[in-house]
Amino acid sequence: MALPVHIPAGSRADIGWRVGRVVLIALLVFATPYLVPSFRLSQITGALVLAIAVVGLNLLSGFAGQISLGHAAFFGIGAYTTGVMTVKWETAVPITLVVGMVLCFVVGVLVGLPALRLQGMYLALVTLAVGVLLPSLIRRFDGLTGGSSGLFGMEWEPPGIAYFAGRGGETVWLYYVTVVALVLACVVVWNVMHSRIGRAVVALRDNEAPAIMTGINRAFVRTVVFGLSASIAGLAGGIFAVQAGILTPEAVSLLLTINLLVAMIIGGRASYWGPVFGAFVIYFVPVWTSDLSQGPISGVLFGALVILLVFVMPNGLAGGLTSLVRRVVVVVPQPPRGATEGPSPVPVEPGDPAAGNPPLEARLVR
Amino acid sequence: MTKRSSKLTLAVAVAALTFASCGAPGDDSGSGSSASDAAVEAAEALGIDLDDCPADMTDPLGDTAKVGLTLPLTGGPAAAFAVLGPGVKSAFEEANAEADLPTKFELILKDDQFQPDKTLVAARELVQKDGVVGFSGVTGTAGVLAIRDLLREECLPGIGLPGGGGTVLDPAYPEVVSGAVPFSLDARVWVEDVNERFPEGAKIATFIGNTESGKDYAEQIDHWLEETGSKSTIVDKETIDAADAAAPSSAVTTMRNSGAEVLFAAPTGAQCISIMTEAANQGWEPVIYMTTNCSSSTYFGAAGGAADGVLTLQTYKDVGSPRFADDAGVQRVRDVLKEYGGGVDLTNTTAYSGYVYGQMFVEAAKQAAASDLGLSKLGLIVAARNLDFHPDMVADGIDFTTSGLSDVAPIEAGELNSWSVAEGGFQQGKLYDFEGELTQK
Repeated sequence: MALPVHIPAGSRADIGWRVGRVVLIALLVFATPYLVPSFRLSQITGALVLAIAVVGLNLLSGFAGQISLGHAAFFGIGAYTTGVMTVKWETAVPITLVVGMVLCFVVGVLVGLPALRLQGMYLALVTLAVGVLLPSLIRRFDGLTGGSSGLFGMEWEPPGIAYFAGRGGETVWLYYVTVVALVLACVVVWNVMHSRIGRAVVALRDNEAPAIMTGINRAFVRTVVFGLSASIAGLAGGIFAVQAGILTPEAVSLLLTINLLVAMIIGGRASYWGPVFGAFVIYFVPVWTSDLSQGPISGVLFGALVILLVFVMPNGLAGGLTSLVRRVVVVVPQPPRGATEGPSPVPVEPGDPAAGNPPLEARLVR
Repeated sequence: MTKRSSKLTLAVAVAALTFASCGAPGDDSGSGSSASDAAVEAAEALGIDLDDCPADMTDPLGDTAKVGLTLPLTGGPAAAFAVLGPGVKSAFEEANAEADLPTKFELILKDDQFQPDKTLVAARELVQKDGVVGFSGVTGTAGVLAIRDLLREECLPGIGLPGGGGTVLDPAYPEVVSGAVPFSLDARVWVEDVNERFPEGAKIATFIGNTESGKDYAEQIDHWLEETGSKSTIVDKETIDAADAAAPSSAVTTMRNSGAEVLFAAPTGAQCISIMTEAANQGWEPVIYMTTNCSSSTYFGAAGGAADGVLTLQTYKDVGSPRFADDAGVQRVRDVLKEYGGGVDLTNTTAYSGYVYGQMFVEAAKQAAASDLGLSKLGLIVAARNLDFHPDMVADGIDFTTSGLSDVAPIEAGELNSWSVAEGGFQQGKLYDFEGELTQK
């Protein structure tokens, strides 16, 4: 059989291809707790938490093209909201997650206000200030946050069912919680980017002046996207708090923002799978390089690998994987219903869902 | 819901139920050991319930056993702490070659970037993947606090963990045995010495880092001023961030203007040097007490004339000081590091400290092997909780002693030494010994 195999969009083969991937991922998610030891599952959960934060950053910096160097702060606000509320006030974890997200949304909107007038490095500097400020505030209010000594004792007891029983029950529970949170974050971003706001985001990113002339409310779109992005990072922070059980200012330092940015680039900017791939690379490569070489050389290996990935896969791992899959299977877009059948695939006009045509990007990126 | 999505949901649900029927994935509990009455009694004396521990808690360790050490191998703190690894390793290698122990130990290092959350992740991996029987050398109060619940859950000994914070000396965690000079000892010695020098009281300024140890220092200074009925008062409190590399000019000016006659200083790293030089530059000459974390000839030597007469508490022998140039203990450890340290810098005091942390574990192993409990995890914990030995790198007259839960601090004594520019090293001062008095009640 000659490769690539061409599958008409909307055909049974296409549906099977889609459903097959979903089932495969679901199987992988459910099988993982049985296949890996508890410590590895905990590490996978750690990578998934990072992935949630990268999903948030990707919405802002990937899709909207606004550089943020302050996402560690939003992550930290979510983390410390959960940490302080659960440890000091014994609030239920789900409530703290919601409060953390709301708080991050508000702070995100406030920080996003300068984005109406600033762009590029200038906006990056404003967000950098927020990122630098938070660790100092945590140390300053050490009576509440534990300061440099750290905040300890956060946990999320699993439900009292047999599936989460045993010594590793909490690890399995947090794994599923994180998976669900990641899926929710991805669904929110997917829906936003396939809504009117999403199209406005892309229009503002690609050509701001004409976008405003067409009636797009720049202030609304930019601040909402900033807030959403921040609240997703806050959700990641909240889960991190109960997953790690420890919070220190170092955990939400500028280094975390840099890691999130690197994960977004390595994974694939403005892609839906990129944050997950990037987060796993950022999380596990240092772990494995330190196993290979117990010394400062592990940092060098990590850096070299990051540079290599950027050169070999300029579109990130998601882009590289998509290219690879397209060598095997290509889903050929079909003309819209009612259109005259042509000899070959007819280009589909993007972005008019009202007319029954989904955006072009959604039909080609598979 | 469409027909297609219904089918998909059904498929996912079936898959979920299939896996759920396999049993709980996290159900790997195998606790409850068939321990002897003596083992049960020894464990209960330390508040350990053997039924909550893995079944092999009282089993002999076997021919070989792994010991875990998480430390920063990458990132900024690696420059200061990575050298601990060869030090700790040398102690175990020496024991394997020379001590008549039934078990050979292998030290497994794991990078934690000096971040407590990563310390815990790395420690979990060491426990579950490598099957370590204990930990040694894990550095920093926050790092020790991060892993102590894991040690409790797995009933593993953490012996020679250099965390000086008061929370590390918590009898509720008998598995944790500190290897550091407690900050409470430092603060108490400072206050006692001030009380002797200034019977009518003195004005004190504090210059303390915004770190976990800084917080401990601030609390302990207040505690001992009150506890000893001191007439001295703190007239100014200055702080500095750990990463602040600038000279503390404004802080020194404020402290000088407060009229303070005494300075309690607990900064970090290179700040140890800059606080001394800045005070000298501004012509301020209080009696300066410097944290034991700075008590190295490296820092004092770099401060030049500004360090002359500055006081600091020392428990460990300073390898750069002329006083210990011909010391037999220092020479012996230097030879061990040369043989087993893999080319480690023999002038680096941190490597020698690492050796002491490993030596504490080895000493506990020797005592356990000679006890009725034998060289098991429980044997190690019980032995480490009843230590009494004199490490080669510790000044004469100071022993590492613990006694069950009534005395959980191995180091409770130190010399208050002063730096002498003329001598090019520390001059031996008064020995303060508070044996058995630093355990939290």
